[in-house]
Amino acid sequence: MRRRWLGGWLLAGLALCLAANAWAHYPFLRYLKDSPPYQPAPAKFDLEALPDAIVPYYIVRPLPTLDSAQKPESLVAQIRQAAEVWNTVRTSRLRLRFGGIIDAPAGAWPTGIYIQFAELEGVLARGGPVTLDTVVQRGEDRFFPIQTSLIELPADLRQWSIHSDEFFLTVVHELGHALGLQHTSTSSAMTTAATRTTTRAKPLGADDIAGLSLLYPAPAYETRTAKIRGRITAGGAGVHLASVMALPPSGDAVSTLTAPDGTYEIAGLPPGLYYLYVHPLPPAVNQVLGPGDVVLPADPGGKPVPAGPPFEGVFYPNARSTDAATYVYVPAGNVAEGIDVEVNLRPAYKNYSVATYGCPGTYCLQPAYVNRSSKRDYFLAWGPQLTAGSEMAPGLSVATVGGASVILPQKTKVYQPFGPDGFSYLQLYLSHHLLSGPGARHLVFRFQDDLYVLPSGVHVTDSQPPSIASVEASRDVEGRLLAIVRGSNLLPSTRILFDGVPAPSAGFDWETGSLTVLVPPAPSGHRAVVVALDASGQTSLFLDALAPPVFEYPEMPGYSLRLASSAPLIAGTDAMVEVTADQGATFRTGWTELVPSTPNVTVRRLWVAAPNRLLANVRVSAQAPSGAVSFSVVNGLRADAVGGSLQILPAAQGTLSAEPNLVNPATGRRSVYPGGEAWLRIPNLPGVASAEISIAVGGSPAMVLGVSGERVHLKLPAGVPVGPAVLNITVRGQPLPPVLVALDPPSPVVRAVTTTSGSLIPQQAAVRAGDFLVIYAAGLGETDIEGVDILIGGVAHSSIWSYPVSRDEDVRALWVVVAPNVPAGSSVPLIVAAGERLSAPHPVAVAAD
Amino acid sequence: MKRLRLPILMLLAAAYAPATTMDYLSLEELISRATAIVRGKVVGCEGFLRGPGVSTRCVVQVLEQWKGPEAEQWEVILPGGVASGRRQSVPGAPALSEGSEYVLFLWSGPSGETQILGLSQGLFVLERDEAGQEQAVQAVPADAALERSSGRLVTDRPLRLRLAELRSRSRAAAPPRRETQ
Repeated sequence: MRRRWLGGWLLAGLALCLAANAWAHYPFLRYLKDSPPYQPAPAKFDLEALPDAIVPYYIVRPLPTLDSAQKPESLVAQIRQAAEVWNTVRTSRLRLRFGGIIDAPAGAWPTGIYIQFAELEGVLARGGPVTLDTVVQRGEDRFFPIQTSLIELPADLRQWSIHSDEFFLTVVHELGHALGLQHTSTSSAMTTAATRTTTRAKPLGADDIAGLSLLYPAPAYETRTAKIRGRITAGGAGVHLASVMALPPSGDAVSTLTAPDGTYEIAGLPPGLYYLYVHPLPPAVNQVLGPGDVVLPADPGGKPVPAGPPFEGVFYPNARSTDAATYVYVPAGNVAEGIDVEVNLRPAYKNYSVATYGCPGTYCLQPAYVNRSSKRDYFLAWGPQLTAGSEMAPGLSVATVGGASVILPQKTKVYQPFGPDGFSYLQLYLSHHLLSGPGARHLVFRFQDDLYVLPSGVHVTDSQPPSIASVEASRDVEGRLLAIVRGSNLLPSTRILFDGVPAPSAGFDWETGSLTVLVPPAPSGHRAVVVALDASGQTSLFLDALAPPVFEYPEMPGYSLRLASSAPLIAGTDAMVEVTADQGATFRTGWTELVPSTPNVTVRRLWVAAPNRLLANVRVSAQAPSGAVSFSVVNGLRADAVGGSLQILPAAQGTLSAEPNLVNPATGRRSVYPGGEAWLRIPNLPGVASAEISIAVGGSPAMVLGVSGERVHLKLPAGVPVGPAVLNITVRGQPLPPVLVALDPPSPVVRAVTTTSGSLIPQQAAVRAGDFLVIYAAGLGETDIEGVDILIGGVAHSSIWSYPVSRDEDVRALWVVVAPNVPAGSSVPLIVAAGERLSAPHPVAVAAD
Repeated sequence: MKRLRLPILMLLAAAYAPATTMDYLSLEELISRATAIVRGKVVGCEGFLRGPGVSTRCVVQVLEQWKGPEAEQWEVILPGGVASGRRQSVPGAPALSEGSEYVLFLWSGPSGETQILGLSQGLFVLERDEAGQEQAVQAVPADAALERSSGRLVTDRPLRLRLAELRSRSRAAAPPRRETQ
């Protein structure tokens, strides 16, 4: 295969300005100018206005009608887990939090996402964001703030299995709309039905992750990713809303749509090599609607800007196959400019949609997974233009992108299971490169007069899907309910869900291949559908969908919950809430949520201090009316009311409240530790002297080092344990409502940085882009290595390999490859970041290329 | 190769189908599930706030009624719209233009509220073909849809047929009936 490389291509520095459409994926967009560069402004939540960047979501009563086998707690669990999918995007700082099942508020609806059950016919779900018409500007960022988002599901769910992946992925999709994402063609979560290839085991694609991360970026996000920019024209004129898709030889596609002048920018790309595929979206009949069910962007006057005409699909620069196409190479933090494509218009759009099916067992189903170690090294494809009778359509060829797996044309045949008058499928066989790994393969269907690409059209794996034969209840020595899951293709990495709720692993038996898991709490007698998910993206529903295993809960201990204090909550302030339970409760992070009875109270942070004790910081809205607020605890599949209630009182003049997120003065991040220093913010703090403030943390006094405006500089007491600690503050003798502060272990420490041969950096060596660095870091503790970032000159890196060096001193070696966008210098700062815990900068020498 | 039981493919695809937000409706299903089918002209539309969202209320003056209780006008509620400085975007939602004529497959739920059946599937735009004949074109993109019951990919979209044929098929399946007073 002939390929031309554009390595080292026109690399430009990272642009802070958004030139054209700077989106992977596509948001709900409005243009602030009528002419280039248009100044696109997306609809998104204003995270600066939301405490801790948390967007609450609520389920609004009345609940839907379910069939007798399906319970409301299962419905709630499935919705919660669908929301958690979006919380797994580490490169986005937005977090969704369950706000409970509520009645419709009497007055204004607070900012958040609302899931309602409505009279729908012929529609499984609908919804979208509600924005204000006023643009918000924060630095270079301009956007229309989302006030609320509405998701509507049918009020009658009796015909829909809420345990199905269909329901789950539909909720994931609608939450994506609620967060500001539109449809895409990359076979990811935000793709419309027919060609989506995500599963519950792998519910998001790279395009979804990029879309969310670009709207709500975590720090240093753009240093990890790359961009491709260019223009799509026809006869020299820009084509509006052309889909431009970046296809890596292995990995997920990422795409965007063009601006009215044909310019585009695909951002959020993992660094690497890409083919670029340009194709039209299916046009809308009604010109006020967008193609492909995309909501048209609006001009400054609010009018929709129509899409351009249809054209032939093509690979960059102007190729009908990947053989003649050109790769674009983009390293991290860089932009490949000038990737322009001239397309040929066509009088009408041609629909070449293709669906692919894998056949792991007796049945064939979507999406197509092929186990290359089995004899069924094939998949099926169906589309109206693929066959002509019992023959493959004349002039049709099918290929994959990249060489990891290839389709064997000599083995391709037409399969007509219903005889010559029924549907005809193409049966496509794959051969795999010896050194190739598993993963998605993009398919290219080349017709006589056009081209169609199905991103991730087939997924190659090395194993059959997991299958569950039995689920047997058991108990551990502490009396906790366990389940022994037996079946096929179960591994230690297999995840088990009970009605969608994760069941943590408690062991794996290599002899029997069975998994022992901790069963999530549920009401006695509850019957939970049990599903297994593997790392490749397959689920046990591939084989068990018609009769998935069900676990019937035995008699479960009851317990009562109560509030530990009755101190009132003051409108417009933060406060702590403590809930305790009898023995028998099994609270656990990932299972447990504290839910207020009103959206005017939001939980900012929850700690599971013990299996029967919860601690939380809550924020009371300044608009919260006076009255009682009660709480409930959702724990796995059960929900229990907390005895008692708290009164919300109006804020008196001059009421003060502490911001519970302490900031480390050395790093500027929200991670402080016992014995260290911290900044505490008290909004509206009047001019006070240090001596007029007294602070205790975890019952021990903290030293006030100084006061500057709203900021108090303090030294935390040394002996307080790590974890949540109560912060008591008195200002001029008046106590503020106590809040909880998080005390972390001390920041990591960089002990040394070396080359792979052991030469110390900077003392003995310098490195260049592409070199390996070995960082010896202490104090990472139990931090998952995936959660550790290494910032070199501000550029984020992930460790490619890590191992303990000294258990006594908790020192780990982290290997990284120096990214090309790291600035050169003799003393470039290297910081190890374990979440918000940042090490002090360690200088490294980076030589210029 | 062992023959696969492909009829099961279609059933299983429904049990394990990729997520979809729209239930594909054939023309026969549109006709049978609609509580009313009208050819009408949009008199006006207005957005209004409803709960956390925005909806649009359009008044359609009936020119022809092919199914359902006869009425001079229908009030149709569409998801999304603009009201009171707020704008809700709903992907796939239909849009009606004031003064335009459409064929609408309407569905009234237990609450009595009337909406277009199947999001945009129940909305047909009227055009003239090359021969000058009136055509009804379904207002959905020319994209594939997944038929949930069979897992089949439906690609012959949008539906496009002569208005006269649409009229006769709608009336034949469900003649109009009078509301009892």
